[in-house]
Amino acid sequence: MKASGYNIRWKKMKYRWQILKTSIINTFQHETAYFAENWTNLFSTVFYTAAMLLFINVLYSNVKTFAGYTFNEMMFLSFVGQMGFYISWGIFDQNDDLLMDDIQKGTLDFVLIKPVPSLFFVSFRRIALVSTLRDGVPTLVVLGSLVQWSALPFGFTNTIFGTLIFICGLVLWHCIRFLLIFPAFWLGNAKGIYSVSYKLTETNNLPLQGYGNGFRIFFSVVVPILFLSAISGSVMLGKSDGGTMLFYAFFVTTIFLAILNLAWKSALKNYTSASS
Amino acid sequence: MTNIIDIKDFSKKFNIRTNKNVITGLFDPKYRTVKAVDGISFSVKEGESLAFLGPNGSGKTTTIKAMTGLLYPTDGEIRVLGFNPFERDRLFLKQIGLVMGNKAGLSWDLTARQSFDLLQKIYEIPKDECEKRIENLTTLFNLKHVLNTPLRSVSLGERMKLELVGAILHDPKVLFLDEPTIGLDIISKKNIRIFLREIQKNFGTTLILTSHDMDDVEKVCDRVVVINQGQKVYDDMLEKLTSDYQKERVITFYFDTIPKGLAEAQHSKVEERAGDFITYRTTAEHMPKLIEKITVENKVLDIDIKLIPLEDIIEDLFKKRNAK
Repeated sequence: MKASGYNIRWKKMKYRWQILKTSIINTFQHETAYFAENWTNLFSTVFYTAAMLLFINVLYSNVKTFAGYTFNEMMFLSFVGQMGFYISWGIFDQNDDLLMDDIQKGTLDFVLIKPVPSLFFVSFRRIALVSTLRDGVPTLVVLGSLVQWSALPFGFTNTIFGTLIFICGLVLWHCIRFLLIFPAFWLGNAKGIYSVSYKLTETNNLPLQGYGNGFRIFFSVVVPILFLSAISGSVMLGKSDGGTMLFYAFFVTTIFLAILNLAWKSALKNYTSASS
Repeated sequence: MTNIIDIKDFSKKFNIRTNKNVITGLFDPKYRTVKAVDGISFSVKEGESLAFLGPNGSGKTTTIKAMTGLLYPTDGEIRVLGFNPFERDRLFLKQIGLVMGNKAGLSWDLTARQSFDLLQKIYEIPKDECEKRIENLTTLFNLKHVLNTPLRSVSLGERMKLELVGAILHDPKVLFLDEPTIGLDIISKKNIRIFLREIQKNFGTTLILTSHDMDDVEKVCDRVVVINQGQKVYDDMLEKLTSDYQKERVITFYFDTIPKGLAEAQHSKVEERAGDFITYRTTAEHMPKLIEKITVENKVLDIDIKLIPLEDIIEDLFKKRNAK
């Protein structure tokens, strides 16, 4: 009996992995469909990174530490933040855009009639590995080369805890952005509401210790986006207690995944499917 | 044959926002409820091909979408293949297909072959079997030459046929078609109609179709359900619907110019009159007398005799129902 339960679970996982693999291949085919588009995004990421580096340099030309972070620690925090941004961009951004368009135009119909878990499928229809590598790797290499890694107080446990919190942060970031899309099921379009998420990403460029208690609670419980880099970075640098933060991260992630599932079910019940 | 679809008292209401004011609409959103479908009941047997007809906004697409599980019913019960469609059971979804004439189900930037690869994984079709089906269907449809072309670069007719191949790749038991020939040229329409008949005949697929093109209905469907203002106004075999009107004829007489004093003949009604022709509607029984009367008294250049077109029959049904 137990074995058949495992078998079913294994089969389900295998099935999802097959879909993910095909999504990666399909996304690559999408990404290479328009030649010029392959390179244009690189300009905006390079410009953004240059502006961010300039800001950090100006800031540290006047102070030695900022919220208890040295220049080197701040560069590391930016590195973690950018890594989070590119991973989320590669996995989730295209899917978010696609979902908004599908709801507005009624083409979500074709997703919903497929025998695949719908929330899973709309979350991972596109996995843009190529553009993530193309746009993210150069930026991360530049940022990484500016960090003095040997001077950072890394410990094994904190690194593991920090990495797990970072993964929770990615999941939470996805939940928040998806929840911002859902009003489209009632209103027809939620691009304006969703654009709030772009502004929220900025909160990850600041050290956790720079936030007052009220903001810290708000951005880790109500809109929990600090887990992505501010908290994970702080844990890796030994500035926050890893065990406690990991417990919070798991707890909040579980709650948000449950909210996302409920919201998805409710949204589908209200889906009016734009008329043909 | 067993019932594959059972719909009982199905209703669907939508809330339409009436206060669209940018400021007051935020604080005082007002809605009016629109009944798109109002207590429809019908069943469909396995292997049937059913046309769902009605004017724009009559509720046909809403009913089709509820049958596929896309829309949640406000009232009533829908069972398709023994499932409640809205529960979206995998076993149910694996047995249905959907084609919408003006929406693309396949990816715009990918080739059909690439989209089919994803479908093969999603529907867990054995690779060999899937290849065989693609080969058979693309040969039947003459699509082999566009299989590896991005969808955005193929013609509308070919795209529609590729959409159909994608929708039946997993061999669905029920295929829902929402205006599948919209915007297509005559030849493509004809090909699609033949293809639909073929898959119904060869694979026993149940077809549920909506269309404004009566040729689609005549060539593809055996049974017709007509709805108007969300209510069912007719449900029977297409043959029966047309046979009721087969006693009637539409006769057009062509002249150099219509003779003066060409009055209404007994047992016939003038349908249309222009510079050089006049069209009468009469019964088959009175037709010879009408022809004799007109041709003896006037110099007729040509005569055209037709059965009542299906468009007119359906229009007649709507008029009768509205008059009630």
